[in-house]
Formats: sequence, C-alpha cells, structure tokens
Amino acid sequence: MADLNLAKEVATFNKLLPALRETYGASWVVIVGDDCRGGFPAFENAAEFAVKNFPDVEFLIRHTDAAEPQIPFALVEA
Amino acid sequence: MTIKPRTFGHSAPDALGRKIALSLEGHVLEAIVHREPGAPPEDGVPPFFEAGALIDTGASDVCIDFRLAHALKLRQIDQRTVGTLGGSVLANVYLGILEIPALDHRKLMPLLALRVARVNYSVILGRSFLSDYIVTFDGPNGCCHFIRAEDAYPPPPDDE
Repeated sequence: MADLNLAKEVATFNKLLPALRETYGASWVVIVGDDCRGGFPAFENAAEFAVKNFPDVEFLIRHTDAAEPQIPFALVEA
Repeated sequence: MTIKPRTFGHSAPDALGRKIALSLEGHVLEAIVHREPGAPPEDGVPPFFEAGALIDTGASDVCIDFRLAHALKLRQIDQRTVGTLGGSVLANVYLGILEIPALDHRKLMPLLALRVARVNYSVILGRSFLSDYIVTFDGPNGCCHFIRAEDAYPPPPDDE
C-alpha cells in the first residue's frame, strides 16, 4: 500500500493556522486541498465528518495545537 | 463513593516475580485495532488485528507498526516529521478504532505509524490513550491500576 503525500494539505494547514486558531480555537480541523472544511472539539467528530463528506478524497485531520509527536523508545531501533 | 480500579498484572505467583516481570517487560494489555466505521469489506483485508499493547507514558500518541496499518488498509489522515536521535523520520497518521477489551475501551483515534524494520510491540499505548485514565504503576506488586477519568471525576449535578 503506497503512502499518501499530504504535503499540499499540510501546507494549507500551516498557512491557515493563525486563522484556524482564531476561528475554531483549540480544535481538530479537516483540511481538503486548499481549504479548511470544519473544526471540531473532538477528534471523533472531525473524523466522522470527514469520512462521511469526503469518502473518496484525500484529507488531513490535525489539531490546531498539535506539537511534534514524541515517539516511544520501544520503536527506535538500536 | 468508592471507585474500584481495574487492576492488571503479570502472572507470576508471587509479588517479587510480578515486580521483576513488570520491571523487565513493562505492562502489556491486549488491544484490537479495527478499520474505520463503515469501511467496506475487501478481499484479503482483515477487519481487525489483535496485538499486545505496551503502556508507554513517554509516547505522545498511540503508535502502531506501519505493517499493521497497511494490512488493515487504514486510511491515512496526516503525515508528521518526528525528531529522533538518529535524525528526522516521517511518520504517517492513520484513522482506526482502538479497542482495549479489558477496559471496555473503544475509540476512533489517530494512530501514528513509524516505518521501522523491527518492533517489539505492534501497538504502543501513549498519552493520547492514557489521558482518559488515572493510571497507577504499582512496581512492588507488579501491576497497574486503571480508573476511568469520568468515574473519578463525575460531572457536577445539574442545577435545580
């Protein structure tokens, strides 16, 4: 299974982030292409909205306060 | 009100054995990863995958083996750059349901998958899962106690 390239959606998220924070506050947002399609307080709501409305389209779901993930040492190879 | 935690421990018959096992192996719960709700059945794609899941407060997210994500054909919903001691690596984020039967836990979640060649556990329970619980790591007795947050902090009664 090939990985998707969501670089366009990530760029949109980064570009819109100040406005997203102003509009939605601390929320999970759904990005499709160049647009934000909604902000939701809970991840489940954002995911259900995205799957229902964009079942066959690539989308990105990310929190407006998302920090860089911290990975577990259990997954780091020696 | 008395809240009874759910307790999980190693199977050694004595506390010292359980303590050593917990220290060496960490604590593992049985987990089931499901495809997203409504995902159509596909030939050769199982609807879920069962695995031991290691509790890891050092991980920000629930992490899965990327092979598990591919086998279940989970939908990719994000990609993140993660800094490690060896340099930056790209991690995909997938949409899936995490079920922990022993806790009656079932939730649609973002699942972070790193592309590494070999893993000891297919599922890591990081803080995005643990934040729903008060978890006590009982080293001397070789067990962990879980209390669901809403049981410990019940909502205030409605105003009359």
